Amino acid sequence: MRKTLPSIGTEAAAERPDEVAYSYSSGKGLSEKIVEEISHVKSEPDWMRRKRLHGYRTFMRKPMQRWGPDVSPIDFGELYYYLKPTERVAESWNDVPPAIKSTYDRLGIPAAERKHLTGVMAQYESEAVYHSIQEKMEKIGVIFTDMDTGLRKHPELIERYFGTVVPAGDNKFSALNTAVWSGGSLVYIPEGVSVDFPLQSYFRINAERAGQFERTLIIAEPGSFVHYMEGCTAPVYSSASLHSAVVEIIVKPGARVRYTTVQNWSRNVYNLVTKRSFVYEEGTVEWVDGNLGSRVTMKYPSVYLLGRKARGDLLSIALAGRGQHQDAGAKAIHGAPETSSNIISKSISKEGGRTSYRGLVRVARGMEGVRSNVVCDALLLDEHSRSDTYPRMEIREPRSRIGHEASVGRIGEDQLFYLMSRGLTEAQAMSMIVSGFIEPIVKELPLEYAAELDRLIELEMEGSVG
Amino acid sequence: MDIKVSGSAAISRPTRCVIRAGVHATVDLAGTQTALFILERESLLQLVNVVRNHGTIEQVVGIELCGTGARAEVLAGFHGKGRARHSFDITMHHRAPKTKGGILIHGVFEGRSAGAFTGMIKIDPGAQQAQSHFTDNVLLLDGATATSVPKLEILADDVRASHASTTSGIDERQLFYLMSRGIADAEARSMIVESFLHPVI
Repeated sequence: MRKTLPSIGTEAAAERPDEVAYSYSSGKGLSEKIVEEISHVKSEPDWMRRKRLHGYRTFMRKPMQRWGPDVSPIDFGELYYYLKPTERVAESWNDVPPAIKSTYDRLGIPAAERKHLTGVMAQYESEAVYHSIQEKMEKIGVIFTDMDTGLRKHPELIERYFGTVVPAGDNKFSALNTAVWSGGSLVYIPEGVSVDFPLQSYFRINAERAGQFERTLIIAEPGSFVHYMEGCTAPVYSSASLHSAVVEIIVKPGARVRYTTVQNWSRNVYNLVTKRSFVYEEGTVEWVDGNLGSRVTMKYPSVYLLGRKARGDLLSIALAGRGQHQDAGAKAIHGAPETSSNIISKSISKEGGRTSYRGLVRVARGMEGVRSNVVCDALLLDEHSRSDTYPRMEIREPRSRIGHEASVGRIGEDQLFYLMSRGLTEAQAMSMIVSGFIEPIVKELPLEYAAELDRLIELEMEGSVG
Repeated sequence: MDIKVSGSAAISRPTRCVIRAGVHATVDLAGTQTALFILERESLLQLVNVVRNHGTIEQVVGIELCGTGARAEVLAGFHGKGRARHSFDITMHHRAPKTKGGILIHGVFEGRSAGAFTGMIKIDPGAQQAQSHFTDNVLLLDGATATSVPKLEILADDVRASHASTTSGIDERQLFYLMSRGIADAEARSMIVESFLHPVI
């Protein structure tokens, strides 16, 4: 473990800024002083320090939201807001909980990758891959880096867009993130550039991977395309109990951004995130969102359709097992004519787990020709589990067409009987039906993710029969 | 006060009704503001409610399916004009096994009127083999607005619960068809409005 003192302001620090950041820890609790310190240690420009302080004051002022899951067990005074990675992740392979180890075994994840996932090994050998990607990108003017490096290398970009999609005052947790953010990705795609392979946060060499308060900013200039992916299907062990990320996406006219995230935090984590995109004329944003782990998730990816013919597609899967509450959903705000949104949500509750869909579709007055369709399907695997649906549609324009449907049920006896009559065990039959249930979303994932998710569902299902 | 309803009745003030075991009741809510229905074993409630006016109305209706095999069917129609504000909040609470609930709401809003429909289906743990469905369909004209909030809270697994909600304007093709048959614009509109409300009136 490195214990060097931060050498703030020196040339060396600017050259190898990560080392400065990693050798500092903010101690327990949150105060204006700690926020100032975080900004100071990272040698940030003054405007970012002011943004952080504004975020901090907003966080202190804002009351805790009164709806949704119970987040009262979070003790803000007991949390560490800025940690070097070695303190946040498991110290050694032996500290990793056995349940997670055995899942890795079953998933057949290579040893090196396992260590990366648990943070035992901060840098995976994807370094080489990352470098070749990086070179390729620079040639076409694409920026793909972590936010801290981004802030040093492209401050003008961040100053211009940071907090414009998700302002600090949006909610208590976006305020907290603004105050103490660290890590996350900066992605910038120049006009007309189409990136033909997914940018995975996984490849970014940075020990800040999977940070507590990640801040991601994606800017797609007119006519560009990018597929950004973060997270992974294998369980990620984290000793920190609160994760509160903010993701801002700006899709300029005619651009298309696909954002895929699969999150599988360990079961002690409160995952309270704010993800939002602004989409302009004829732009498209596609969110593919999977929530498997954590104790409580609150996540409602939002699309603000702000230009004529802008389009937003949201696909999400949630799986809640024992002691888990997945409160996920989607929001589509139609602020321009002829915009369209399509939301598909699939959820599975088992062993007393609870899934909730919470959604909003809003059509402003005068936005003629708007189309929106929402479909929520929920599967309950036993009598102890729970499924909720809380959508809201606010329609202020008659020349629009809005639909919503939701259904909750369990696996049909007839389906089970049929599969078992073909020689499958009950567990196999159930996992096959569940795979079929989420298939429309899984097929949108890249192959390796889809295969891993399928295996994970299979594993989860084994425990839920008999 | 408990009222035992059998046969057909119209109620007009805040009311709590108990439908006794095996009784089939047809009740016309006729715009009553607050009503709570408690259904005992094998009882049947058929609830109708039609509101057509320019005014403001806020209705809150609760249906508690407390006895095994209880059933409730709700048909509600709303036609708001001018500056009308129609709000209808209904909860279908399944507290016993084999209960059935069905809610169908059709609303037409014209002028600067507004409709707000909230429908909650709750199924308690142990209320197995419950079936419940909520539908609200809204037709908006002129500068009217609508809010729909269909909700589900399902705590039993051997159940079927669903909701569906649509909001849209008048179908220009229907209007065109009628007008091509020589029907004036205003009359064609009113025919479309009436046919939209037909399933619930």
